[in-house]
Amino acid sequence: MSKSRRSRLTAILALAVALVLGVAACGDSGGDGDQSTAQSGPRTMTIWLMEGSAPPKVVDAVNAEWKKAHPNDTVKVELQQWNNITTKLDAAFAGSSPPDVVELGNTLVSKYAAAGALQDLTGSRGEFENNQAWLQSLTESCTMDGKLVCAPYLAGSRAVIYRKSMFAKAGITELPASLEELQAASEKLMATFGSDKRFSAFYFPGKYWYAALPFVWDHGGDIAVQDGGQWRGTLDSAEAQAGLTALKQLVDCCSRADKQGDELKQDQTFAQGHIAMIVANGWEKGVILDPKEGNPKLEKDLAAFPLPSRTSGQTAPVFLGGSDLGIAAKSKNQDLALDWVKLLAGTNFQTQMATVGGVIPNSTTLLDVHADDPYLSVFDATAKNSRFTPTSPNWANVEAANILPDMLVSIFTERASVADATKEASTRITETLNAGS
Amino acid sequence: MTRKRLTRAGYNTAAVLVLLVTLFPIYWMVATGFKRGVDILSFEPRWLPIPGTLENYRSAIGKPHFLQDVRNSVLVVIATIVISLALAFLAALAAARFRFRGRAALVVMLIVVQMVPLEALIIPIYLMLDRAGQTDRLAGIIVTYLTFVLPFAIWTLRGFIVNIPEELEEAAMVDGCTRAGAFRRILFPLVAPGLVATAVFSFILVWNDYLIAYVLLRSPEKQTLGIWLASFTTNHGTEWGGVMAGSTLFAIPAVVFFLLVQRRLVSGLTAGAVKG
Repeated sequence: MSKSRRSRLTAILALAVALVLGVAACGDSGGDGDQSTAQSGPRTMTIWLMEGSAPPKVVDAVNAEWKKAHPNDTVKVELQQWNNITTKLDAAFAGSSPPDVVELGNTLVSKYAAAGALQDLTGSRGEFENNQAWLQSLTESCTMDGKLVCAPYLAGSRAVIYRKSMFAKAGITELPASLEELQAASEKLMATFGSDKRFSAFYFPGKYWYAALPFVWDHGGDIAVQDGGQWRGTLDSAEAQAGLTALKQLVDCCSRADKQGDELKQDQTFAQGHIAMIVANGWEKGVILDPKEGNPKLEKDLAAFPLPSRTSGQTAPVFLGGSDLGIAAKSKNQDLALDWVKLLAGTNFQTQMATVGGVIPNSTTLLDVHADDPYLSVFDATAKNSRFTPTSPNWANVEAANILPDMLVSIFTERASVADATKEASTRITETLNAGS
Repeated sequence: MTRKRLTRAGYNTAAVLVLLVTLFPIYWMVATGFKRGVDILSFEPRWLPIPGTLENYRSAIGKPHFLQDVRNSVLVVIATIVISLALAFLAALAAARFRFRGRAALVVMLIVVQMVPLEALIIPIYLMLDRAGQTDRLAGIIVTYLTFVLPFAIWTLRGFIVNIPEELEEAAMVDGCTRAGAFRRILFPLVAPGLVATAVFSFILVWNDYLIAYVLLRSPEKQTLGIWLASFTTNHGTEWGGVMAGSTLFAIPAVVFFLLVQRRLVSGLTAGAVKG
C-alpha cells in the first residue's frame, strides 16, 4: 500500500466515523406518540422526585392513598440527584419509556415543554384542587403558549433571617422597613460587632444571584424583556444598575463573605454565630438548627423579615423558586399518573408538605396553614410579591453558563465596574436567549 | 561540593512541598469525615478531627441501598476489566502483528473515537441502548464502559506488543512451538505489565464514573457507588460530613487496588518506554 493511498483511506474512514456519530446524535427526534391509556392487567408507574423534595412520610402516604384507587397497579418512586439532572432528563425523554411523572425545577419546565416532552394538562386543570388559587409565578412556569404542561408542586422564596439578640445589642428596635434602613441597621451592627474580624452584618456570598435579583427588580429593572419574539437582556438598564449598585454598597460595608463564593454553605456558616443576617429560604432555618451540622441553641434567637423595598413600608419582589410536576407525553399510564399528581398537588398533601416539610404550598388558599407561625408566615407573604426568570426555553442555558454569578463576582471584586459588568452580562443573555434551538 | 549539596537540599525541599500540597486535600477529606458537624465549617479551620465522631460514616453506610450499590460497582468494574482485557489484547495483537488492509486507519480511528466528549455521546448511547432494551441494566452499562475503555486499552497494548521483537516468537516457533504456543509462552508474559496498566485505567474510569451510571440506570437497586456519593446533596443543601466520609470509603478500594498492582504497573511503564 503506497503512503498516499493509505492516508487517503485513513481520511475516508475517519470521515465515516464522524458521519456515523453525527447521525446517531441527530436521529430519533420524532416520538411515535403511542399512548394507549387503557391497558389491561396490572401496570407499574414510575415517579421521579428530586432528592429531598418531599419528606418520605408524605410520599408514602400519597402512594397509599393512590393505591386505594388502583389496587392492582404499582407505583415506584425513584429519587434523583441534582448533579447532571438535565442530561438524565434529556436522555430519558428522548427514549421510549421516560418516567411517568417528573418533578421539574420551575426554570427547567419551558425547555422540556418546548420539546414536546410534557403532556398537555389543560383539559384536566379543573380536576385539580385549588387550581384557581395556584401561585401565580408557578402557574406561569407551567404555562407554555397558553397550554398547561405541568402542575405547581411547591415553592420556596427568600426573606432575611436574623439574630434577635444581635439586633437588640446594636440598639435596633424596629425591623428595617426600607432598603435605606436595612443599610443603616447593617452599618450599626458592623459598628457594634465589627471588631470581630469574622463578623458579617449582612452575609452575602458573591455568586448568590437569587438574592441579588430582588435588588434589580425593586429598582424597576429586569433580567430580560421580550419584544416581537426576540429577547433583550436588560441588566444594563439604568434601573438594574441602580439596584446592583445599592447591593454593592451593602456588601462592601457589611459582608465579609467570600466575594467569589456561593450560598451553599451559608446556613452552617450562620450557625457558627458570627453573622447577623442572611437572605435565605424558610426551610434553611432547619439547616441552621440541625443538631449534626448546625446549632440547635439558636432556636429562640432566630426570626425573619421580608427583604425591604427602597420604598418604605413595602417589600422587594423576590425570586420564587420551586418545582412542578409534569407528566411525560410518552407515558403509557396517563390516567394513573394524573391521579398521583392530583393527590400530591391537592389540599391534603400540600398541607402536609407545608407543615412537615416547611415549604410554601402551591396555592394561596393553603397559605394560612402557617398563619400562626410568625416565622414561616413571613416567607409565605413574600411569595405573594414574587417574580420569575424569563420564560424562554433557553433560560436553562443562561443558568448553565453562570452568566449571573460571573457578573456579580466581577462587580463585588471590582474586576469590572457595574456598568461594564452588566453590559457584558446583558449581551450574553441576549445571545443565549435568542439562540436557535 | 557544598553547592552541590545545597542544590540537592533545594530539590528535596521542593519535592517535599509538592508532596504536601498534593496530599493535603486527601488529608482534609479523611479528617473532615471524622469531624463533628459544627467543626466542619468553622471560621478557623480545625486541623485535627478532635473531638471526632463516627456519625458521618454511620450515616454514609446507612444510606438506603448502600450494600447493593457496592455490589453493583464491584460487579461492573470486574466485568469491564476482564472483558476489556481479553478483547483489547486480541485486537492489539492483530493491530501489531498482522498485516491487513486498513490497519493504519484502524489505529487512527482508535484515537479519533476518543476525542469525542462524553457529554456529546451520552444521549445517543442512551437511545441505542433503549432500542435494544438495555437501559437500566448492568449489562447495558458494562457495554457502554467497554466502548470507552477499549480504544485506549487497544492503543496501549498495541504499543507494548509492537515493542516485543517478533524474532522472539519466531525463535519459539523454530524450536517447535505452534503460533498459539508462542503466543502463550512468549508474548503473554512479556505483555503482562501492559495488561496491568490497562486494567488500572479501566478501573479508574469505571469506578469514578457518575454521568454514565446516572443517566443509564434508574432503579435505586441497580445504581452504583458514584450515585450514592451524589445523594448527599439534596434540595436542602449538602451534608458535607457525609460527603467526606463517603468519599473516603469510596477511595479505599482504589487505593487497595493500586497497592496490589503497583509494582507490576511501574515495571510495565518502563518496559513500554525503553524498548524499541
